[in-house]
Amino acid sequence: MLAGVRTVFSELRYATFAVIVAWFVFSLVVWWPNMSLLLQVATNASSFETVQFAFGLYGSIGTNFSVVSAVAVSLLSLLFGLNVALTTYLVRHKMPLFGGAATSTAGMVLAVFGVGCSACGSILLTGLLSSLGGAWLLVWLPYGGEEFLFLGVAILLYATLTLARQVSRPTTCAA
Amino acid sequence: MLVRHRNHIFMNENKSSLIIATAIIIAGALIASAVIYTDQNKQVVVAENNLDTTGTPQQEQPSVDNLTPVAESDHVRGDRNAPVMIVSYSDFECPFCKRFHNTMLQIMDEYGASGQVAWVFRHFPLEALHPVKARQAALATECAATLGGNDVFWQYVDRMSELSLANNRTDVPAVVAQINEELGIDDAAHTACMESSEADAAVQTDLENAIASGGKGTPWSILVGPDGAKYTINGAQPYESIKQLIELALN
Repeated sequence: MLAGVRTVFSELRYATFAVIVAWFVFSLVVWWPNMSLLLQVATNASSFETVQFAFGLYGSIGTNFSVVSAVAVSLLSLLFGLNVALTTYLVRHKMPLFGGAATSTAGMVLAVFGVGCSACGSILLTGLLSSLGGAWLLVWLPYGGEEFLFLGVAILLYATLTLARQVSRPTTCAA
Repeated sequence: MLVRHRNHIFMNENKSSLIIATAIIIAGALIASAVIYTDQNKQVVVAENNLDTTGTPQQEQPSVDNLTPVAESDHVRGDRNAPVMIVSYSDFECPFCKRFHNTMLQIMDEYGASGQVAWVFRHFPLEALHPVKARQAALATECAATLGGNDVFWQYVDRMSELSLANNRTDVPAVVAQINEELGIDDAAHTACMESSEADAAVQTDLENAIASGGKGTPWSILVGPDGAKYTINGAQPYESIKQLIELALN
């Protein structure tokens, strides 16, 4: 498994790609609640001020997330970057993906459901449950819905291991 | 031997295909449900709050333009004629509101004394997440205003924010009794006020305006600039971001 990770990330382009994807996912999660504000600032302020404001919003990982969910969001971003880079490597080298890519998709979706709940239930899960008349369920979830985030991270970890193992698996039969 | 090996590979591929199919179905179902439900109901958090006092769902399309203008009845910290107004909708049981309260105190230290920024406090108890206690705490502060005026209201809000344990864990009656004693508020009058329909209506009005103005969770804030431009702030954003937004509005 480790051999697979080493094989892929010893190539600079895959390592860079993983970092860019991880950074993109992290930014998306942090900026998402205030995307319209960010756009509003972009239209009313200079490019420098907009970039400064966007970077300032990264601070919300400390104010708008619980410690546990901030760690989980960071892990989620990192794992997603690794997953995408590993999947790209497998596709480019015409290696079979098996369940890795699909599992990582499922992990990401589950994690997204949990992310919103860190800010007092502002995104998907709460809305979904409220619409179904099940918002009471959140009160009974010990982490107020962040369980989905943890589950997503766990699934992404499993997907990463699956993909990495796939990279190190021989594509031809040994003699 | 070779046949057994092939069968093993075939079974593994079948198992993997099953995993892929299951994962795709789960992911697809979750995304589809999320899209459908969030499109149907933009006011996600507060779907159960989105009722008027008679329990009738509100049909108003949420927009920041629905923000109720700051009036005499509002609780304002700082100069009411300040060029920048920050209207914040808050829930005392929300841990992020506690953090944002401290951020706003820091903002008022810097911009309040010079009269550049005023802070307007409105209630947004998320009853779906924090049943009973969030509204009770909101009512307690509202009644502090009724009995003691604007200054007492803000002292009460500061203490409530400090003493609240958040996430619906606060022993509200105990905290209320403690603050009442500290601020010299008559317990009996305060209790009678909290049970009155007037106090409840004031909280409900704020809550409905939070939803109508686009609030989906707490803290929900709207910064109104000197030119009337409105900037919506979702969640407990850091001090630096709020400061930058104020500077942008002022300039």
